[in-house]
Amino acid sequence: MSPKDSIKDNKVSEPAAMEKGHDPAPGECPLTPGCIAGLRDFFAAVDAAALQAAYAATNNFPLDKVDWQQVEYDFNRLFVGPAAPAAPPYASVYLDENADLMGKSTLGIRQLYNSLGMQVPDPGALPDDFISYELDALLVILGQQPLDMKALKSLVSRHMGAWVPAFCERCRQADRVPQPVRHMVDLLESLVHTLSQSITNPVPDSNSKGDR
Amino acid sequence: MGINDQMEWLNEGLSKIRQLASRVNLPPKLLIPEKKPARVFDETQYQVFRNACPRNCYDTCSIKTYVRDGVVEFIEGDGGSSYTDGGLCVKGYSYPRRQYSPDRIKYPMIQDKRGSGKWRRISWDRAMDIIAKKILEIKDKDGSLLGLALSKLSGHHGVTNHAVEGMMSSLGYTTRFVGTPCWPAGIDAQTYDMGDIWCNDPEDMSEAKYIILWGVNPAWCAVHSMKYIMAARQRGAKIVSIDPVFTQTSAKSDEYWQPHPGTDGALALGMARHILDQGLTDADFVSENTVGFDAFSTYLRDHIGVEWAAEKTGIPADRIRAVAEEFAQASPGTIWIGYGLQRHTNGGATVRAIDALVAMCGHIGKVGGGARYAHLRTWGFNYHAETQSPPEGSVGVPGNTEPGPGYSDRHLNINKTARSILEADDPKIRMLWVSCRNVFAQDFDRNLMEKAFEKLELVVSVEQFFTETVKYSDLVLPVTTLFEEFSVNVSYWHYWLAINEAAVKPMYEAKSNLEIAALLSRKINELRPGSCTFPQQADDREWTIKEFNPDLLEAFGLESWETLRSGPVKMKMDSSAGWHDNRFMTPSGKYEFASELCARDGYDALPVFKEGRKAYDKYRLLTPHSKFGIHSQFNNLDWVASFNKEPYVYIHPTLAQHKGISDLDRIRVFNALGTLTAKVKVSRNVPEKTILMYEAWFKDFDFNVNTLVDDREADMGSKKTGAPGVALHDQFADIEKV
Repeated sequence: MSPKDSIKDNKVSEPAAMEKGHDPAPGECPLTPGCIAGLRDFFAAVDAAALQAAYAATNNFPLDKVDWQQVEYDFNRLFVGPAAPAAPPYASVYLDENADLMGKSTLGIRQLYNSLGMQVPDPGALPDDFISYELDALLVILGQQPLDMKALKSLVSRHMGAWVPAFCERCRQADRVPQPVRHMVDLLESLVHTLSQSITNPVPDSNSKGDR
Repeated sequence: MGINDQMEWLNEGLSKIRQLASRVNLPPKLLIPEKKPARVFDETQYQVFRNACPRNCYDTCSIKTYVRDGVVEFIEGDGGSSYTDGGLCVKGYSYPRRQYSPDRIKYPMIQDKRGSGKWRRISWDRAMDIIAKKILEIKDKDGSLLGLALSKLSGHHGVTNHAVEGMMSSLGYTTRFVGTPCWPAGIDAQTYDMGDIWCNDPEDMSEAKYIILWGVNPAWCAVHSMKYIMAARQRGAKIVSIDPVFTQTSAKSDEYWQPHPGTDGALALGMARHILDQGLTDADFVSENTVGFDAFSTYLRDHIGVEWAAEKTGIPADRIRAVAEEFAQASPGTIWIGYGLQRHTNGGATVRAIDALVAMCGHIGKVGGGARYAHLRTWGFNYHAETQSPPEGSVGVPGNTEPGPGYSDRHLNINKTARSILEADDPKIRMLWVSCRNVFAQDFDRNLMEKAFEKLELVVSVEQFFTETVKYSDLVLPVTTLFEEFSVNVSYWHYWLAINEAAVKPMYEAKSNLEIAALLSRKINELRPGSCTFPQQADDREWTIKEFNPDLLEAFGLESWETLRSGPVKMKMDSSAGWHDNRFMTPSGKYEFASELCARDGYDALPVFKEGRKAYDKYRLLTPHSKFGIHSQFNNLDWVASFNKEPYVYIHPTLAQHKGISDLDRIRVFNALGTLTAKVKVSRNVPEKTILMYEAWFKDFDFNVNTLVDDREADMGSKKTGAPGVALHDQFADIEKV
């Protein structure tokens, strides 16, 4: 597990409210910080090496022989550019009526980061609601003692739960999605889904704060 | 519950809900419609910036940009300019969609094998390294940088963007694509006639008593001018629209003429002949302020007749006579000469003929009058960004006549870009830098361009969106929008000056052309000191300030450029009329019906009629501008694409019937250069034997009108712009149902 350099050093520890002692079935996200960090790093990857490393960190699925260079090309085609990305990884594209960047929902997420004492490196230049930033925020929340259920609900149930499934669906509809990307998309969707379930039906724990 | 089970349950539930919804027809009983009083707009909630649209459009709008939390929320036209008058255009209002489009190019990227679609993200440093090394390689191989070519034009104005030319100059002597497809023939024509282009202030058109809109469609392409035309009309002025296509402007006019394309010169001369015969010439103006009228009169009597003009142009003789008389007797009359009009092999000759018509009626130099074409009187900047020197020891094209190193850049005709790249030799063109231009969309003979690009070793595109040119590039560099850079801008039509402030940070890793120049300089000097003179640090704001000089400030009555931050400022003018002092800038100092200079340059001294290009295929092909885009810009944005969804080919019902084509059929348009497929719209707005397509980039369609347009030159343009124009509307093709 190699967390990408983020705004400040992330002290990741086992979150109190997560389900423990449950072996993930295929397609289900092993709820570990390593998995979340891997997903974060995957969608923020700048090249084939970074993609491969991030994938290895989650390593939930076996792969057939992979040409990581081709994965990089496809990854850029799907998420980055220079042509119009098939599945832009930003919440506002899926949430806001206007479906472009830096929308109302983006500023909402910025406020959430601020309430955690965090921000994106260059506010205004980089959309705050990029999936990797949100996954990073998830790690921040999960890393806090005691766990802030309100913040978790805000980020996961109300926000990520609202756009990530649509984003994942858009990914699946795209042309020629390579295996590693498909797996990561499935993993991401499973993560959000599983977390949302946990939040709705949490295991009672005296360490958590905030209402249910 | 697994995700799949979840989805199934949801789907079942949804169909039950839909069934229920289809049966509900009871209105609510207790709720009432929401009361929604208008919200008072609170400007203090926003940071307001000034911007100036850099799209090289007549209107060059002054913009007020409203920013909150570092995001451009919306924009509006600046009421501080009477020309912009608080409104933009349908394209301008879509700017926020451009700024925040998910399609925007974010990072420098490299394509492993041009055209393959295999793109990798690289750092700016790596991009500059590749570029710098290539430039040094060219220098070492050829002994000069003539193998490095620049294609830059009007895609992004704002004076600081001339840093691109400056960057080239600071590297050495390079190849430049000069000239322009836009307006050069008409500029030369007006230069021969009057010594320069100096149109009236468009805001004085409301004073005109007769307005001929000749080959121009302001309702689409200069919307802010329409209010002056309509104001004139309200005061009793007559509006005549002359255009091969019945446009929205035509629909708002009093009289519409549809001449055969390219015969406008004959029409103007026919009107002139009639005015002469009727004794309606302004004898005082002609004798005091012109030369060569006698020779012109003789030419008219010997070679031109109204019946002849009617036959040539298809306009009824009685209308030619009537409008000629009305125009001559109006006080004043004016003609707005459009740019489409002169995109013919006889374009320059045509403009000279129309100028002569205006001049003989004495309408030049009058408020509300004039042969309106363009001006450059507000462009008195220092061009500091552009004016850079090559490094010591640079070698270029020898034999420069000016005092200096004795070398110059190699100049090739931008209108023949494809051909030039293929033919350039000694040295050949190895590398192409593209900025503020979309070569594949706007240059001619697209299929030839593909071949030309195969010859290039490295292509660098500086862009915001994935255009066809980027598709065929090796490197793409993300560039700033108008909201992300500081600059200053003026118009070639109105007389306002507007600052362009950086309202928000550049998105992702976008840099301005100026920053890119500085970055390249830094890298290439690292690799080889002394290889580039461009400063290695450059700030847009500082460099914008460097563009101002005392003359410019005085011309606008400004103490300092800072005043522009409160709004645009208009030039101080003694009169709204161009040439109001009758001091023409010709050799004689007068309006020249007979121009020796023109003759010396290989044309006729008089504004004679010149035949147009002979048809080489069945039907004439016209590819004018659309209302929805500026060339390849805007139509890719979601708001514009939502109502301008796909390209069409417009043909007259007679032609459609003849070819067995119905409305919305798919057809092929083809000629020797290439083929294009699109849906048909049958319309009486186009002449019978004409194919009309609006040039535009539809990002999801394979549609490029330049597949069919060749690079045949217009008659004039070299004198003032370095290369002849292009006969863009002298193109021909055939059609058939697919």
